[in-house]
Amino acid sequence: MTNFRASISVFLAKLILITLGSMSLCWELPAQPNYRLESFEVVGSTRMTKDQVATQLGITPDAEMTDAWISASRTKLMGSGLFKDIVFKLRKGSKPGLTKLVITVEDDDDVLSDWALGGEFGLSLKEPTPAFGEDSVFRGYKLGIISRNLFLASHRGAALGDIDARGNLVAGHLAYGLPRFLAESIQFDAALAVVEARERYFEAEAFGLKAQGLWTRRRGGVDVMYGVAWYSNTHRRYRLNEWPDIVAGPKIGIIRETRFLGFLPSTGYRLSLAAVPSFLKKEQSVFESEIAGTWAFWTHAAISASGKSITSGSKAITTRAEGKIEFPLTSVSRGLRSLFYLAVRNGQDRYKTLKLHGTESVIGYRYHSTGFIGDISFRVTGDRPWDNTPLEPVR
Amino acid sequence: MNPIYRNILLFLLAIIPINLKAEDTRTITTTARWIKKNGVPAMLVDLSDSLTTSQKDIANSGFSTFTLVAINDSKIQPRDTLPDLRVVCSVKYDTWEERYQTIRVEPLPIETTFVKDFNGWAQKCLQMTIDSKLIVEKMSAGGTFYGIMQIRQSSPDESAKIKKWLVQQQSGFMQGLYAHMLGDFQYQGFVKLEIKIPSIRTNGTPADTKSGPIGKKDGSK
Repeated sequence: MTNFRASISVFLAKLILITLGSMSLCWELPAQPNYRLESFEVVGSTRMTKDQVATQLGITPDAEMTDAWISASRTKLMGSGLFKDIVFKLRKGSKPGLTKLVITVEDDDDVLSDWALGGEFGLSLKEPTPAFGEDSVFRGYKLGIISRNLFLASHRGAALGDIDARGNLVAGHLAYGLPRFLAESIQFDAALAVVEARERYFEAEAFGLKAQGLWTRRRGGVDVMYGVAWYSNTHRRYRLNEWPDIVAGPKIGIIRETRFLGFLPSTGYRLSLAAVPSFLKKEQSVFESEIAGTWAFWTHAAISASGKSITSGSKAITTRAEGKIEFPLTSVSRGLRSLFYLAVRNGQDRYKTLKLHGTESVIGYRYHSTGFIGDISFRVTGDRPWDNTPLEPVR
Repeated sequence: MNPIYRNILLFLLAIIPINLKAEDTRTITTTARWIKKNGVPAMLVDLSDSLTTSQKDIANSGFSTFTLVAINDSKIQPRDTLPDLRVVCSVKYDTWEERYQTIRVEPLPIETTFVKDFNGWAQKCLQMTIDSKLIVEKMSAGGTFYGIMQIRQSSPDESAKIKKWLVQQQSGFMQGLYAHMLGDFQYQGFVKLEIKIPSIRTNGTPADTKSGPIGKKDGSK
């Protein structure tokens, strides 16, 4: 139905352009007066207060209620990700020329509670190995929660933990974002991530622990980011052996992302370049680059490819690559609810005498229900650098 | 059963029913009437009584509202092209003058009118007369039309604008923030239509005010 609606939207857009053009050329339509605002109320949700709505929409006493204003205001509120529909209604004011505005919002029930929470539960399985017992197929659990309306104030946050079969936290991610609305072209996000490279080799990107705080400013379709970053390999568990211990400093970069990274894949690409320069030790300067593309076909089937590299100085390089294919499994009129996917991953690390190389193929099923995404994956084939050695990397 | 596989099975059983009970987009079923237009048979599809409360609210909101009624003789699927049979309008209700300004842009010619009551607007924008000889012949034995009715306050490109905005927001560390959106907005003013076409011989509806019915009430021609 999405494509059909899109075709209707395109058709209507053309039609309206024709109409407006025709009207301006051919007719003198009687002008419809725009009324002045006397009061307003928000009904249907407690996710935003009346004051918050007034601030975000710039509602002032005596404001003129025009179609242009309503269009911009609807886009702003819908862009908050809290609501699935919004209707603006005008009612007679206390005297001619004045009007009362009623904003009726409908909560998006794909996110839970006034904090707009969502969650993810992942279960990963693998071939039984002697290390965990011949009959054990569990590789780990992944639990995550995200919010787009923290503290009922449009703050954003995410927390994700990946726990292995022994109950250890092998990867984690904490992120926080200041509120951002349509009128603003800048946002601030901070994140802390840890990965135990021996257990989650493909998620480990050169450093076992990363903390960063970045502002992102949109400039002509490209996001320019700047802030500070601190990367570390000093923790006894969360580290990539023999890579530089610590890199810290200012971080600058650019990102161009055209895909909507929702549950359903969409066509588009991502390009990003970033640097954490070290002015004291040149060989510790870090450069990150990423390229990714998704081509969606049929109804939400998609092929994706991505590659990422992180270099430290001129000698250390980490690369990660992934190819993925997704197929829809079930669909209801409200949208697609489950996907089957197959992914092939490749990773390499080179630094002085250290040489790591791993590949794996993963088959999985992702499911979306109200507020939650479920993911079951099975590692079909795998070749991790540490699979055949007790703890340390192959030299 | 091995506890591992039992847990997996329970997990799958837990999520599948949620999938099945996901609510459907509202579908309105109505019946068309056979009338005579300029002496020849035609079908009259009248949706003025089929509006939902939400759709009425939107039309009476006081801001410009776009309305679309589009029908097809086969079920509208995602990859279908836009049906040829459609009525497109822009309607604005003046809260103080208490009248509707209606601009019907399709079918052509473009027509602008001011009407005082809801029915006057509905007649312009929610009624469709199908007199195409080809379709009339095809449907004379009866059948079903499928379609959509959309009454929306927003500009047609609003969804695209919002998605573009969300894409910007996810560019930092918040890439999973909108993962729970299914990527499509559920506008209240959108309903699916199922329009039953009676056989031209059994059309038992009352006479149209402008043109007489083809069938008699007892079903005989």
